[in-house]
Amino acid sequence: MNANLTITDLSKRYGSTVALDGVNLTLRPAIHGLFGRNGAGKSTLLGVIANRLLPDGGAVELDGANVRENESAQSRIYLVNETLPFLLGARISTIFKREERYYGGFDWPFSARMLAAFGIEPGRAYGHLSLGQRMIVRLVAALCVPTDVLLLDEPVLGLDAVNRDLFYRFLLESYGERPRIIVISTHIIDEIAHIVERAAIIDHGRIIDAFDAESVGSRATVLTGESACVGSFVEDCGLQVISRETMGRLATVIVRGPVEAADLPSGIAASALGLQDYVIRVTSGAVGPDMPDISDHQEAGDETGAVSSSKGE
Amino acid sequence: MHFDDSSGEPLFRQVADQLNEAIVSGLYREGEQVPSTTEISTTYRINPATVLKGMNLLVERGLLEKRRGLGMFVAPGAAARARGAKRDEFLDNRLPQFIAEARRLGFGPKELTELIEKEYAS
Repeated sequence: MNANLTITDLSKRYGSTVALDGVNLTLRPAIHGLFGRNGAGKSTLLGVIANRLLPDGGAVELDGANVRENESAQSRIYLVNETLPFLLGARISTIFKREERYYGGFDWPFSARMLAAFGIEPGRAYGHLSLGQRMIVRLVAALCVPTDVLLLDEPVLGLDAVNRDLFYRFLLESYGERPRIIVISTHIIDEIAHIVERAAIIDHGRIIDAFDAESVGSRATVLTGESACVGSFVEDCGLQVISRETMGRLATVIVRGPVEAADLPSGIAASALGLQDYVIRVTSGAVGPDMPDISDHQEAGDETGAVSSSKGE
Repeated sequence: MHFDDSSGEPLFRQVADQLNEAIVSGLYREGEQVPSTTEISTTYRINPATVLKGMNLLVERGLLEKRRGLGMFVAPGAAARARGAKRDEFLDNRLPQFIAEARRLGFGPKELTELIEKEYAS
């Protein structure tokens, strides 16, 4: 099933605070990363998709049907966030049975294998687990329900490094078995830079960039060299500056887009930014609020279907 | 496998390069099956679409071949071709870089040749 989640002109306010300001995004089956600073609108966006929050304007559609107050659409969407924990007195296996009833299926062998790997007994009461273990139980449930959309808001919060790594492994295994729309919002971007296929950056309630994660290296270039030399090169080529730092006569200037190595004058070195550094640079406000909208929505939906062909390998 | 974000080299190319290297070194021999997309994906925590793209690059280069329903196998003659690709890469990129660096540090061609011969002999 090739599900399609379309978010159109979505807006949401909390009093005078604008949380979502006209969000447009199309999500196809792929692992998507949703990145942005605290308060940028990530959790609000995921909450609206999962019908936990009502938008003030715009719509979220799953295969053409508005998901708002739509029971059959919502049974295809699963959200893990910091709210709505399971009943504290319930056993883990009871919780999983409840999820199986509501979502119409549960991968019991996979859940048993994951719980064993994380060292959690399925017979234990949810309330007796540590906070990190509770998150693990919710992630295990999320990977075992047969929904077409999986929204993970800060999924590794409270997990130690070993458990985070284990979770990423299971996430990829689950996705490899059953490609679907998975959205992960996290601040530990480095750890999932290679795991996400698409990346969307949200800032002040707007999607400011959406791109193939593996092409991040060509979205910006770091130029290092003698200050005047770098400055005139940037000006001559009409490059758009994201940030500029100087240390004595040495300047480090980050510009949008790729720079051909052949075009570089001697004395200027170019390197690429990883995903986390790129997100930091474009959301830190170094350039100011008049930074142009650089999202490319046309590109957003066209090549993500490629992953479905990996099924047969 | 080792991956480097600052190189600017897309990840799928890095996946392809590492598989190429494994074929050159004989880790995967001709006619042998290479790990599946999912195996590589979960082992190295890389998106399966990226892994598949890297593998397809090697299919295009004739190093891997798909066998329907079975998976990917090292193609006949792959080791020689993979080695040839590595030699080309060495001549086109690494050697000029090495010479440029040596020149920058003040090594002349004669001195460098002597050093290379000494290193070879050791």
